[in-house]
Amino acid sequence: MPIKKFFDDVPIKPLPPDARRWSLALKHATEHGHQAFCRLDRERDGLVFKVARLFLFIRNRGKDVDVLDAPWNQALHDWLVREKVPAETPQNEAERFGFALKDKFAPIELRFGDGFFSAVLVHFLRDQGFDEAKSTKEMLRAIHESHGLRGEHATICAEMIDDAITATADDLKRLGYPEGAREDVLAAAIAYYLDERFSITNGRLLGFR
Amino acid sequence: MDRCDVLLFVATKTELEELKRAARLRGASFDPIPVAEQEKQLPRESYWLGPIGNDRVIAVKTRMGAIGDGGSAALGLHYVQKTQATSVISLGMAFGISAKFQTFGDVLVSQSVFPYDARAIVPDGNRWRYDYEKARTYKASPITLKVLEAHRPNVTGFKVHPGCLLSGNAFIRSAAFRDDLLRWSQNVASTVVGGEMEGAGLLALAPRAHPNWTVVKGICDFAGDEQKGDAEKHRQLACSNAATFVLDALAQWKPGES
Repeated sequence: MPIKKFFDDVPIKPLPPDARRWSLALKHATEHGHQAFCRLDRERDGLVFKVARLFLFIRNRGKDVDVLDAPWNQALHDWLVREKVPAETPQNEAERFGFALKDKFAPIELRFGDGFFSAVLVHFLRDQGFDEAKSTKEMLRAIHESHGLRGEHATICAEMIDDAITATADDLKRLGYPEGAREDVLAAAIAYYLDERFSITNGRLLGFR
Repeated sequence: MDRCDVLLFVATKTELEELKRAARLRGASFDPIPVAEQEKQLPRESYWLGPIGNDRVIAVKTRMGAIGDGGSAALGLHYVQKTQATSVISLGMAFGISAKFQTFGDVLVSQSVFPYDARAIVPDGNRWRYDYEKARTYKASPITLKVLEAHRPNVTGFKVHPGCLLSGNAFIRSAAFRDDLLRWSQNVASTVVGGEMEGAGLLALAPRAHPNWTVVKGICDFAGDEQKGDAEKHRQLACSNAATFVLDALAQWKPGES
């Protein structure tokens, strides 16, 4: 029976396709004591952004030994985090994690609807002290205050948001950012997400703010 | 000739003509598909484009807007069932939101659609106001978006703006209303890039979690007060660019490359 073959033992393929290619370069880097960094390249182009790409740099004493790039995908980002490859700068790290939050929040938006999700998110962030963090303070100030939402749905929605942000914080810890620095990167990542989610820069460009 | 992978929807004569022109320039056919006797009660015309890249493609002309027996919702449901298409792309013309950052002929791609009529109207003192707190945007087909995004860096001659499209059955000819709509929607819709009339009908075609539709439209005006002339002047370019972008993206897509 040909169908039987689907139940045979198959080799585990834990890596996404691009990561399979990148892992060879990373292995080589590790063996030779080189350093690995990544970069999210996502250039603003008016009201929108150019196609997002991820780069992997293998460096030896400040010189690029190898540079690989691929279109952004969440699986590749997750793999880089698993391999503890940080971004070149804390600012780019925040952009990378901020962009990744779109995917993390997407199922919550889908379940509760955008307006409801937005209201709970903003309330949650204010409640958790992000209205005092340097990078999120301005963003939250620019967002129109929604009515406070209560009830079971709002609670579940807030818990899901909490889980997504906690997972991001765990990733930053895994990358080795020290206390203080990691809180700054997390807040900056959330600010990056909020800017796009609530069209804050776009609103300024269009003269609405 | 009655099964396909991709349905291309157009709603106006110019949209149909420019799609036909773009298809024929790329060696595709554009043969009318005969209407079966039992289907003649519905307004419809469809055309077989044949294989483009890895997809078999049929074009369908609907009426403008989502509503009615010839609108994008009714014909979308009919043609998805009839053709077993897994992807529907609404092509044509739309309004942009800023002449400063966009220009006539630029192409808007719906990462999502915001059906702006789906809102609550609540009391506000002695008057009323729109309440968007429970409003939703609808994400477009991630598969089609991936194909279009892969082709975006190759485009020359016009810019492509991926983002949210406002969709409703209103002809908007007021910059003040357009700007109000943008303000009202800012807590709901991320990165609004324009608006149009057929996308809202496509939301009926699939569950919200598994969309099979996408809207790709060229900018023919900016929904301003005195811009009827703009729409007439630029509609051909807008429709041509949208059709060109989609057909080239389908033709050049290499599965598994990204």
